[in-house]
Amino acid sequence: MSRLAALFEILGGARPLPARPERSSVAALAQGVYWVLLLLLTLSFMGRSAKFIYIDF
Amino acid sequence: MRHPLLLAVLTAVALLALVEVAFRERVKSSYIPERTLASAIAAGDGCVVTLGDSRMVAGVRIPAFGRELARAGTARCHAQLAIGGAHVVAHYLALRRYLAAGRKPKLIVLGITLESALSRELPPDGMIGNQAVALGWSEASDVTLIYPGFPARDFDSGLRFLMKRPFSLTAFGSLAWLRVQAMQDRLVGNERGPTNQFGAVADMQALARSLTRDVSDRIEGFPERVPLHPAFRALVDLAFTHGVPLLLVELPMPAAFRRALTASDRAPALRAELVALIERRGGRHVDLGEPAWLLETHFADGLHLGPEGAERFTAELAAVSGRAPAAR
Amino acid sequence: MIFNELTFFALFLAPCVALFHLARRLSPGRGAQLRPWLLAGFGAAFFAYYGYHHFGGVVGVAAILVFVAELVVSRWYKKGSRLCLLGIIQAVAILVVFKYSSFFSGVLGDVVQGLGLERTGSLPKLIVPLGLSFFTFEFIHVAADVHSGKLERPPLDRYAAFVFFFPTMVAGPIKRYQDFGPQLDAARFDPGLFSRGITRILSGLFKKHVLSDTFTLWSDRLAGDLVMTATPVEILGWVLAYGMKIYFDFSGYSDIAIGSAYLFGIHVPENFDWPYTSPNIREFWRRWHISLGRWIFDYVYAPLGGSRGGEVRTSFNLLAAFAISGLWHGAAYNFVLWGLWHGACLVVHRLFSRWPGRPTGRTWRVFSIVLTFLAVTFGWALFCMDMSQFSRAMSRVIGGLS
Repeated sequence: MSRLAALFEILGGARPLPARPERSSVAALAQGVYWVLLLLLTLSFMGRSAKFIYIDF
Repeated sequence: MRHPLLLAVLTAVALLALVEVAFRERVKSSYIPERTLASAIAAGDGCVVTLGDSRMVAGVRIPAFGRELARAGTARCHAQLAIGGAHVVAHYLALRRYLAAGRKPKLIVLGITLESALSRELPPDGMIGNQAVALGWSEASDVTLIYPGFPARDFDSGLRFLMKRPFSLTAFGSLAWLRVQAMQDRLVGNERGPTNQFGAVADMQALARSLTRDVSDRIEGFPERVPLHPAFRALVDLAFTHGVPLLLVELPMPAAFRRALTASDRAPALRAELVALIERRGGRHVDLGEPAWLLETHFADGLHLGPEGAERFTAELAAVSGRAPAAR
Repeated sequence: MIFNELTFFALFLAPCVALFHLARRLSPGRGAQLRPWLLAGFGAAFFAYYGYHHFGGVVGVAAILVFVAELVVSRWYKKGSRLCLLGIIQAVAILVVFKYSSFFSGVLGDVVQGLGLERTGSLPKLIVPLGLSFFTFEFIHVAADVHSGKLERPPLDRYAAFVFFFPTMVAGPIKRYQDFGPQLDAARFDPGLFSRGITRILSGLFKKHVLSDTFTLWSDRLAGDLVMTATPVEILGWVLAYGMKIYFDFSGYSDIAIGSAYLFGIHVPENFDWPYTSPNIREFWRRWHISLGRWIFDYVYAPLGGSRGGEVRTSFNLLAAFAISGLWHGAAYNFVLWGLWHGACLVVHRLFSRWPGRPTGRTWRVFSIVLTFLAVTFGWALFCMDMSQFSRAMSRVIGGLS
């Protein structure tokens, strides 16, 4: 459970990825792809609502 | 690689560029307005071009209209450029693209109801579905056409328009999320009820009611509070500049709408303004809003003509098109 | 709104981040001095821009005078000074006038009507300045901490940067000057943190639009007529969906705010820490809207006496603090009830935690997580529905179960 939480925190940017210099290029490429995936999914779903709950207080 | 951040950013930018190109191609091949435009251009020169929204799409039967035109010797072809769910900005942009492709039509028929020619708020977030042509088919200079007060007024809307229009992902992104919304509705079990080619019948009926509610208020605001839309004037000027006569046709609408229209004190002034504008540019106006044959049952969903109504309207439209002035 | 718009990223975040780092790089000494003013300038422009376009035209912009007043008054803050108290009163007054005047006048009308007298009219709702509920809390924090000696009066440029820091200005996280101020000098371009910032922003947008808005499809049914024909299980499902919706919406926004701060090389407080896995309600409030919980504890609960005055007094303090927290969330009876519900749960937890025979062990922990989640979910039912909707839903549930 705590490993799953840690994984989600890494995917969400709340926790840094463990540094491994030998994988930095692969990780960087994967990160770029991941960003585009998040962005495209967000663009595909953002039709319903623009408002954030707490901003319209 | 010394800079993983730089590599990640470059990867993301490159991938986004690829997705943008692929999406742009997909839009060209599958987006209804793009296909409509491509078909209209493919019909060749010397056609009668029909422009307007879904009421024209529903009301003008293809290929019957083209056959009537050919039989009467009016024109050799019909180029259908009406786009459902889009308003006068889209009509103008569609015509501009059609003419920019080198086409020389014989006549342009614009089917509207009076208040369609009036200005209305169109925030960039509202440019969705077919109305997204207002983003994707526009030039940067169109910002003042759509937001006449830009940059002093409507700065935010104008700026968002300028930022969204250059990329297919932002201009036509609504095509993706309209599909996602349909999937979500199925997932949740949101029933849409019976549908037609324009969407849920209940939505069309609701739209007809809201148009009826709003029409007199909008026309009452003419000209100080609600002036003619700059895109409408630009459309008229565009036809004139290309030497093509414009036939402005008032569309048949349900009785409730017609009552709201005629109850408005300013409707005659608006009509007179439109007629004067068209005739100054060598065009003609025809009021087919309440033809003798029209019955309430001719409307399939409270807004669009059904098969029988469309058949009669098509014949009548072909006849009035034949009486329009010739191209200069 | 705002944080999912291109204008936020293109007009404010990207240029401000670029200039913030360039200022230090091009001129380490002078650049470092300029940076707080850069943040303040962009923040003021951000407030004016969105205040005008989204929150009320010229009136929305004019609300920037509130910040000006605060910056001016704060120049006289010092330990023990009454001007600190004036600053607190000023902030509370602004909050009450803009956000609660209509509600309180409505409450007065209800009381008058309840006494059998003729009801008075309510005050009209005023335009609420952008981020009012959040920036007033930061004003109060600085005034209170300077007054108590926990904080030296911040220099004008740094205080301006603190109150005008636009990633958190609108909806938090509610910052503490002690954490933020020193970072203004220390913040530098850190590729790792920058990368995490981008990830955090994008995942925040994902949480909001993909996750929260999908759960909204179900939770929105609580507001409509479907409640009248729904089964208890369906209503529970919709309330659960609301719990997910609000979590992903607000944690998503917080991710965008925190990620935006990362781009500057600045850390702002976390707001969420897996709240729905909390084993008890006290732990829940250490993991849900963390910055608000800390603020309520430090500036409402503790000044009321906290847990120093015996069980009855402590219970009262908890109920009062959470009633205020509920009222802060919205000017309506259901929000106050929501706050009181959480306050009551905390009182019960407090009593339970002192019971020598209380169960322990792994099974109990799992059970307590579920129980806490259900208690929080019931609270969401109060939070997301007004009183008439809530009573309709409850009558359906009770009727369906009996």
